[in-house]
Amino acid sequence: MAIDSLSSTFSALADPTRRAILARLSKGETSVTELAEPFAMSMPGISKHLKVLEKAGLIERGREAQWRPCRLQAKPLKEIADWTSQYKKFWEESFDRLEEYLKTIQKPDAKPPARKRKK
Amino acid sequence: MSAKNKSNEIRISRVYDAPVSAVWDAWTDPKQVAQWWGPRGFTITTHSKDLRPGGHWNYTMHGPDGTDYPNTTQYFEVEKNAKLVYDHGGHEDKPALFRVTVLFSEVKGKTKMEMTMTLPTPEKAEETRAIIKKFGGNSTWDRLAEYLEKESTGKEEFVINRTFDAPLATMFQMWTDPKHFSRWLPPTGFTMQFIRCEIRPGGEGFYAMSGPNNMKMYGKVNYIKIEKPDTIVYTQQFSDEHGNLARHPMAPTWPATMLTVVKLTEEGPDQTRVTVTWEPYEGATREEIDTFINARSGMTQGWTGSFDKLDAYIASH
Repeated sequence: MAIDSLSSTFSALADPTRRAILARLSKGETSVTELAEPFAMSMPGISKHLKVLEKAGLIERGREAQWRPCRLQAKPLKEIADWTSQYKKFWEESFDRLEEYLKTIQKPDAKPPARKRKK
Repeated sequence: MSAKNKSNEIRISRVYDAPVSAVWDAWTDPKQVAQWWGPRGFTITTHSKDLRPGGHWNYTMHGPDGTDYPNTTQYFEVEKNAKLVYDHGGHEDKPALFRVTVLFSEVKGKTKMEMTMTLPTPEKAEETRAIIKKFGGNSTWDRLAEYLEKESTGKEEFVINRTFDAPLATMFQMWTDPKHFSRWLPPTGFTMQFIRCEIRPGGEGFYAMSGPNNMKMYGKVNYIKIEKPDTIVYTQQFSDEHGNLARHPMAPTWPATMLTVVKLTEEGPDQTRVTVTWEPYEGATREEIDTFINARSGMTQGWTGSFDKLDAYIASH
């Protein structure tokens, strides 16, 4: 995996229209016309977005004669997911470790328990 | 074990850096509430909303794994910018799970939000706490903070809150005494060594994290503010072994410098809530900010959840 592939994936994702296109493609391949439908956007506008996604390796265009269906390529998205799940987890896991650590250092309690065995 | 006010109640308290009208609108305008309501990874669709005593809010929560949760909220009291009382979790014949009272008050431009969820019994309250924890329900209140910040300043940030069973002074030390933070900050399997450590405003820390397979990563921390008893502000950067600014090896456009703001709030003699706000530091490029936003939307839109569907789709083609 090229070190830069994450950056190009990130910038390809830096657009809500492109993210919506990917979400639609995750349900199955489809034509450009169908992809353009939910957006108040011209065909050249959608094509621009598709070019960015294709360059980032996020979609591939089929070669069927009459229409070129767009298909989602999961690998770059999976790399992003692995990356972002690190950050999603980063603070959660830090706090989990902090919670555990606090238990170990607070064990010798300031308040003496009711009955304590002498060594 | 500290005694809570009433054991059949769950209380949540937050302070938002926004006027009370902004917080009220975020709660009550269907277009706004859709942007933050629910744990991270959830989205909602509002079917109808009638914000008045006796009125209902019908909506469906969409979980990150595709499960839908229809909800009907019934309102009992609606006082603009001050109070909301409603039943939560019911739907059609299903009775409500609990009653919620939310109080809003503004002090010096900041809004205090106090929520009390009343359950029929202490056991039910324990059960509800566990369910909230399982779904990450408390992240809803972090999402509201992020939404309000984005609306008022355009800034994108990540917010996380957690309550710890320790007094305020102990929690402050967790961040300011290297003997402590080197024990919980590094990921499991890593150790932290200090090459330089000056924990004071304007001071700098330079450290190495050693991991399995001889993996070594370096980082720098610059302290901007250290205010007893409750505030620590610092920037964080990746660096090389000489202390020169570096990039994360896996993502060259991830912000080079991140700002972390830690605020501690006493919730009891042995309870402290920690609020961490994490954002690209000023001077971040547009590209760095977009990278951060996309990673954050990955966290909030639950890309990871949709991968189960993707894997299945790919496997079948």
